[in-house]
Amino acid sequence: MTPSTALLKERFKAQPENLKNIRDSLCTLLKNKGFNKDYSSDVVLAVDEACQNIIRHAYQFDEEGVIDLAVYLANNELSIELIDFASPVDPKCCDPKPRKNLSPGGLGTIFMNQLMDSVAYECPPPKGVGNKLVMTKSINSKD
Amino acid sequence: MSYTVSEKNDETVVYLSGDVDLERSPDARKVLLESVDKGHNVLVDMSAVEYIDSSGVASLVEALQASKKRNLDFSLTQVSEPALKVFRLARLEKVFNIR
Repeated sequence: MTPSTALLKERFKAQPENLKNIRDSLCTLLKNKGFNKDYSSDVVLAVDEACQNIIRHAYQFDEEGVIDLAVYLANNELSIELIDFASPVDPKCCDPKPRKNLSPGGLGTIFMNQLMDSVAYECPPPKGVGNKLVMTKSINSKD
Repeated sequence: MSYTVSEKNDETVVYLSGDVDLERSPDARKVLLESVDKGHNVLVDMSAVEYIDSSGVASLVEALQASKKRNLDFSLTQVSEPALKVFRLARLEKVFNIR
């Protein structure tokens, strides 16, 4: 369950050129909250990869698509929600898949799962929503 | 992201800089594959790469595969710390020849 007050809420068009702004917003937020560079870069990359998946696979580069990003902090855990309004995807699509060393694909889901403690689609998605992805990462004293 | 290309003997050096992300990785992919197509060995200088994501890594992997098919060397040099972190995450730091 996510707490009610978001540290950051942003709706943006699901287009590759918007990802830098999202990374910058998230980076600034985490820096202002006192997180160290390693923790922040992990979260930023995971969110970027999740957004890429939405742009490429859920919306299939449909320029009308939007993504709602929300960031919450509670109980020593950072929680990121990403909502899209595309057709529902297979909830298991974010599970890491076995890959050969030289396969150029499939890295995004590996990164997300390695960098975050949990990566899961809410099933079924809330009413009026295509997909809701929730990623969490715990916070310890070094972060 | 921006890039410059220079030729040195039989080697093409590609300098990548900035963010190699979903927006810019198609440009990186294009310049890397074009460099391989010239039939030269390719060296990619990554000292000025500030950020790279899976799409950027995929571009490098694709160029590496194309080089192998043509028996050409494909190496990386001066890999920036943020890029090296991502290579390690992908377990590719030993797949690429990093000078």
